[in-house]
Formats: sequence, C-alpha cells, structure tokens
Amino acid sequence: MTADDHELLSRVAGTVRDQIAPAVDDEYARTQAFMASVILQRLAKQSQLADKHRAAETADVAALAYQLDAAFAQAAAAAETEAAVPADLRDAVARMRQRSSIAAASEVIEALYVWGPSHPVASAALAAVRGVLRRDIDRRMEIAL
Amino acid sequence: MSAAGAAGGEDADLAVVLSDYLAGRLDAAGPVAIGGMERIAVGWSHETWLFDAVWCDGAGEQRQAFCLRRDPGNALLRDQSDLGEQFRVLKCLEATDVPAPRAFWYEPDPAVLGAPAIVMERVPGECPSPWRSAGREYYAAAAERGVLPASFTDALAAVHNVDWRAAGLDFLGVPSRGSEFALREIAKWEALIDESGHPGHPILADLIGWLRHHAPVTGQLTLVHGAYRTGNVLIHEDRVSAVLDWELQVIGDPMYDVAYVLTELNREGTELLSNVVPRELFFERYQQATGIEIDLERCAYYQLLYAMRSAAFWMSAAGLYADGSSSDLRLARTHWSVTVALERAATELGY
Repeated sequence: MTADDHELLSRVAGTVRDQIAPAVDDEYARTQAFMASVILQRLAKQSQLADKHRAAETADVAALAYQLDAAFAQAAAAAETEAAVPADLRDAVARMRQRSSIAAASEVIEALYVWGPSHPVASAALAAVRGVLRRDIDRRMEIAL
Repeated sequence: MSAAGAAGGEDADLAVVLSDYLAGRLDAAGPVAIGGMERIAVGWSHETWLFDAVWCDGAGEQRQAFCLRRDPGNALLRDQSDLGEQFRVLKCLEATDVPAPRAFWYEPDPAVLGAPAIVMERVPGECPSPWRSAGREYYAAAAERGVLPASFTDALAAVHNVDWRAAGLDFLGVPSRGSEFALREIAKWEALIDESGHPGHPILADLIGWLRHHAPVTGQLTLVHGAYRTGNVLIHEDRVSAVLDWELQVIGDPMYDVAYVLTELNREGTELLSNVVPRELFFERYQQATGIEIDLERCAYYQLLYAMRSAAFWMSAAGLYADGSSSDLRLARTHWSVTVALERAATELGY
C-alpha cells in the first residue's frame, strides 16, 4: 500500500456511509452497507498507522528480549547454573527476538506460567512482557475504536 | 388462515413445511393451518420464528402458539451449541420451578425443517434488548415499579435451586468439587478459539495462564445458565415468564451466573445490575432464596473468565466471515471487537 492508500480507503468509506447506504431500501442490505463503511474506515486507519506501529513493535520486542536475557543471565549467575532458568523459556525468548514479533511473546508467556509465575524472576519477567503488551494493545485500540 | 398462512417468501415456504411436520405429530383430523409467521432473531445464533397453529381433533378446534428454533450451522458457538442438548435440558426443566418454555419436538434431520430444529411453546412476553435505548428505558421503568427486579432474581435462584440430579441434568457432565469446573470452561473456550482459526494474541495467552493458575475450588455445584441477563429472559406483566437461550448451561459454580449478573458488561449507564436490579436487593433476595452466600472473590475470577469467553466469541464470529461460512459483514467487523475484549482483559489483569 502507498502512503495515500489510507486516504483513498477513508474516502470510499465515507461514500459508502453517506451516499450508498442511505439509498438502500432493504434494511438488512443497508445495515451491511454501513458495516462495510465501518470496516473500510478501520482498514484506512490500519493502513495509515502500519509503518509506525511496525517500527514500535520491532523496537519493543528487541528491548524486551534484551531485558529478559539480562534478567535470566543474572538469575543463572546467582544460582551458578544456567539451568536456573528453564531452557524452554530461554528458547522462547530467542524465537521472539528472531521473529521480531509480539505474537511470539505468547510462547514466552506460556513458558513463564509453566515455570511458575510466583517465582520472583518469572514474576518480574511477566511484568516486563505485560508492559510491552500494554503498549501493543494501546496501538491496536487506535484502530479498533 | 390457510395451511401456509399469509406469510410470503421464505416464511411461506417454511409455513408449508411446518404444516406437514405438525400434521404428523398432532392428532389432527385434517390440515394444520399455520399463521402469524414472524422471524424474531436474525444473525449470529440460531434462527427463531414464532407462529400459530390451528387444527381439529376429536375434541374440536385446537390452537397453539409455537416457537421454532433452527440451527443454520454457522452459529457463533459452532460445535459448542447443540440443539439436541437444549431440547433435553428444556424437557428436564419441565418438572422444576424454572420458568422455561415447554419443548415439544427436536428434529435433528436438516432435510425435514431446513436445519436441525426444536419446536417449543410460545411463552407470552417480551424481550427488550438491553443494548438499545428503548430497552434500557423499559428496564429502568420496570425497576421503578419494583416487581421485575425481584422476579429476575427469583428466576436465577430457581435455576440454582434445581435438584439437577433428580431432574436428569447430570448428562451435562458433572465436574469434581475441586477446580475442575473452571478448568473445563477454560478448555471449552480454548477449543472455540482454536476452531475460529484466529491467530490469538499474547494477552490471551497471559489471560489463559492466569485463569488456569488461579482456578477456584467449587464447593457447591448447581445448574448454571451461563448467560443470565436481561435480553435472555422473557418478561410478561413485569415478571420473568421464561428463561431463554439455553445454549451455555452447565453443572458448575453458581457464582459463574452471579458474576454475569454483577458484571459491568451487562449494564449501560446505570448502577442497576443487568439494567434492572438494585445490587442490595439482588444480594439479599438471592442469598435468602438459595442459601448460597455470594463470594465476590470467585465472582471477580469469573469476570476474567468472561473476558476470555468474550474474546473467544469475537474470534469465532470474525472467523466465520474469514472462512466464508457467513457473508454477514457484522461478523467481519468483530475482527476489531477482539482487540477491545483483549484490552479489557489486560486492564482486568492489572496492566
């Protein structure tokens, strides 16, 4: 999509909402037309914010992976064994960093719950992940509302 | 009233089919006349029609108002919804104090009535939508008169007071008295999420992890409606004439229903629970009628479970459009409702 695509989508949404939908007699079809305009408006917003959101996601994931790696290294050093942090968890963080995707944080969270969220290191790690998830959902809400 | 009644289009075709169907089941000495066909629910769940039937038997002319509920196969709950189970539940409830429609026939063969269907009695009453301003005004006025709040509370108490073993409802599955009830519900909504094809989100993983980790112990098992609120009960002369929408019922923790009554999700612009019941009245009357003490901690847990369920519903809805099962754009729009549900879950989890 080009930088102007969101403007085109937004204009189409407005045309459907203001001109097409009101001219439809059948109630079901009219409702569907209004729904189409809402969907087009959301897609326009998504298109407009896509690059900005992607950049923020990449930065957030990189910072989170760095923070988790550091915390796990510190925990391993304190316990004098790398096994102090579950291998599945360390692997999940590595995959998240590699994919540069917040979606991959699901595996990290699952591994944290397997480890036990009451463990102090796991608890701190979960808090760090949640901070990134809050920013992600706030970005998504810019489109959803 | 002719055999096909005065309806047009799809309704007229269905009236003819219903006339034949009922003629085979009523002791009719001639054709069964169908009239007053009215479709009252369009869209996301089952299709519902109201109609009247007139026929003659040995005792003379007979009349009955019916309700037809059909499963078009693309309902929001997918495999979680089973009309056969609903029929069985309604039959079990006939011998109890729960106000519910009498179910007459279950037709599983889609070739007979166009889709698997239940034919039940039409109970008098209305069911204003609490999501519309007219509905909210209706419930506010009813709350002022004071009869409906008590009746709404009593109907829920009646559900929870059912002797479910004696009623034969144990076929729904009986969880152990530990935390199995909550874990079963989590698994059920996880299955719906998997079925939806939605990629999910880490907030959902967090929510599910939290719910599993904090699953409460259920001390007392009752029949649980699963979606008890205004909009799912029929009201006649300010009283609940029937509890409807028996799609999510389980044997489980009564606080699951109480949490649904207490949740802010089911009221808009009012402190009245479910738009109609003052909180103090609900607590006092419910606890007195059931002998069950309301446990706000368990209710808070179930409100998070409802956040998961909401996300699952929206994922399922969006998936039905995405996979071509439905062409209804209202379902496509729910793609963004998932985001709203997840934001709420994040807030309830404290972030």
